[in-house]
Amino acid sequence: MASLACSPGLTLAPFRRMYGDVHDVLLTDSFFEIPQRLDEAPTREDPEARVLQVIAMPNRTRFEAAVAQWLDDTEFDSLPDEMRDHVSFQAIVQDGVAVVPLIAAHLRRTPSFLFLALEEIFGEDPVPEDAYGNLRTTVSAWLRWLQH
Amino acid sequence: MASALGVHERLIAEFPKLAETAYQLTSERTDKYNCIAWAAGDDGYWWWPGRFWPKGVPAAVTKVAFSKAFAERGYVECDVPDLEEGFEKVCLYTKLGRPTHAARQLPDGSWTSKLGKNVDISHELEGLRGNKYGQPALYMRRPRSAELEAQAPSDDESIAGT
Repeated sequence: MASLACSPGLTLAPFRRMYGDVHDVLLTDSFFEIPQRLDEAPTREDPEARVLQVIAMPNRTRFEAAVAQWLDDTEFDSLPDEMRDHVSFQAIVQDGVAVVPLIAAHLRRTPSFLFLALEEIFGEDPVPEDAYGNLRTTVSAWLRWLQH
Repeated sequence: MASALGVHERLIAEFPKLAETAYQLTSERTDKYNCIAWAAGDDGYWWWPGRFWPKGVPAAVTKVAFSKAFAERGYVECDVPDLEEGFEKVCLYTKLGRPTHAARQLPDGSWTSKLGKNVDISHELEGLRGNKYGQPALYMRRPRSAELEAQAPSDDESIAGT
């Protein structure tokens, strides 16, 4: 059975809304494995990889395109208000918790202001005050919060 | 810089008036600090209202709030961007009345800017006027001696998360 993992606190509802009657989705604590799994070509010998790809690839492709556009268009912006106003950012946030693992994977690869999407999605701010103003420690605080 | 040509092309695309004015790259790309921090003399933090911002200054993206933020660093509003002996100036750009960017004047009268997450440049004020940052809208100055007296913001208890 495929295991589309989900981090604690997340639900399957967004996946079911997007992909319909998905039965073989499990809640596990290893959601962050998905991007690595998706890089593997599905094979007959590994049906799990195929199922994961069917479930998550369309979402991931759209997400990566939106992030790339957003990062490029806001490269010269300094203030988060401007970054939040961008149409691609709004599209990312609109996908809600479904894209959280993709955001986390992206932030792990490349720390960026994409953490602002997590603020919007969760309405939380787990960043300690002494990390404010430092992008990398801010991103680290968010990744720790997502895992715990 | 290995990718200098690409950087110039990107800058001109974003700020077309740079092609008509003098400017120079003065740093590599970094997201460690932003334009507001750089104008205030801080290359260690990303300043923004509500997060890393002078205590007691309104956490708002307004000209008034940004003026107060620079006032905390010893600046007072002035009328013109012209070089004045003994003074250091900052310029706030606004677009539709909202602050978008800040630049700091260098001793030779040119200006230095951090461009978002990208590079630092020295430039003319006119070079960054346009669709991205809008136009120069506020000038402030302080005695150059105040620059030497200013503490590093990371050690300054008046600058913190708010």
